[in-house]
Amino acid sequence: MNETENNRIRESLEQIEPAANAKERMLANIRRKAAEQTSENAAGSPRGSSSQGRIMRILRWAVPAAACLIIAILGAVHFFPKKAAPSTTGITVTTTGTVTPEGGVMSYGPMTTYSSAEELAAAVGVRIDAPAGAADVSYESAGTDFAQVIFTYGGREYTLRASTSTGDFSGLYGKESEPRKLTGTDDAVLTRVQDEGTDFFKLVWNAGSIKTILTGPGDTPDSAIAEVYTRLKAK
Amino acid sequence: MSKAASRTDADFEAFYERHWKYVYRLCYTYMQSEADAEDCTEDVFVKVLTGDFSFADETHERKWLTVTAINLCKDRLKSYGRRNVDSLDVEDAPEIAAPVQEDYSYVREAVMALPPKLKDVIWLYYFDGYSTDEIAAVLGRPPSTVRNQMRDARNLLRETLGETFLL
Repeated sequence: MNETENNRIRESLEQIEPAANAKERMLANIRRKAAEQTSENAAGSPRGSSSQGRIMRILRWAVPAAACLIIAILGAVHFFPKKAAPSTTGITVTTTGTVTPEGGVMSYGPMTTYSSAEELAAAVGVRIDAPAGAADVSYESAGTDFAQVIFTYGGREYTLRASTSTGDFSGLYGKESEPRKLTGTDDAVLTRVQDEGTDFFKLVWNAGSIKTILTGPGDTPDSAIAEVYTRLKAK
Repeated sequence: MSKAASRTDADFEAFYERHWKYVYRLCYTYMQSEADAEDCTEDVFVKVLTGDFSFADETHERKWLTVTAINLCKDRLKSYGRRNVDSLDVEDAPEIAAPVQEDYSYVREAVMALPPKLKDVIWLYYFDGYSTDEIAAVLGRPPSTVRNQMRDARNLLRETLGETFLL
């Protein structure tokens, strides 16, 4: 976004104006609430401190909640049978994703989080995972547009995305350096991107019909990027 | 501002005067109603009034208020069960046409419709002018997570605001 649009966001938020007398009304309420809180703390809980009464209060909502949870789990198991696990030999596609025209960065919708690479693959139809030795791994998707894995390796955080799309789904916008093949890789192309004053790197490669994009901090040296790439390909 | 024990009424009123409108605007961005925004704003300042801590300077005050207000609003939204403000379904997002005058309410609506975790970074970046690394420090998130969230938020805003917000 350019300078004008940055200002629009700020100005739009500055146009939020409280109601008339809100300042004085809120101050009065703040003092009242603080005084109430202080006297409650001094007197103890208004509902009494009997441990037996506390246990009964907890049970009153905990038992029905536990029953609802059990019913929900049984229902899910009955109505949503397990899907067959996708192939684990490299990157596979079980459903087709969206196809976008070449050129131009794709925009996409809200992200969904998953607990494993298998769950992500089942949802999106594209299997990717963090490299061996990675930490703080999270799995997400933007609908069926692309699969995403965020992980930490060697002290840096990386974002890995894969899709059957031919567009640019890196999510990076800004000035790009001249793309070049990264030494130590088969055919991966490296670009340095400056997006709104923050530097990134973007590494792109293809495996069959799957396009993969790895992004991370702009100060990551080529050797570190190549190492992550090698470990990803070995998975 | 000093600790509760040594704080005077005048100290608190000066503190409130410095920050009340900022906290209100932040709370309104999340709660999207005057009454709820006022309620949350009050609760943020009640924490200040009843808590026993002090602030090194105004920057520290602002950061503390920002994080406290954001967390309080998110907790309130969860307890209200307002799922419609937890996620933005782009396909259901209403067409927002850019008006003729310089009224940015259409921009504000788009920002307010963002999921809470994306709203955090947009607010801190565009309203408070923090860098992504500073935002990461304020929110306690990894810098790359903040950069990813900025990216996602901008994409959603472009989807909603259309041609007026394309690069």
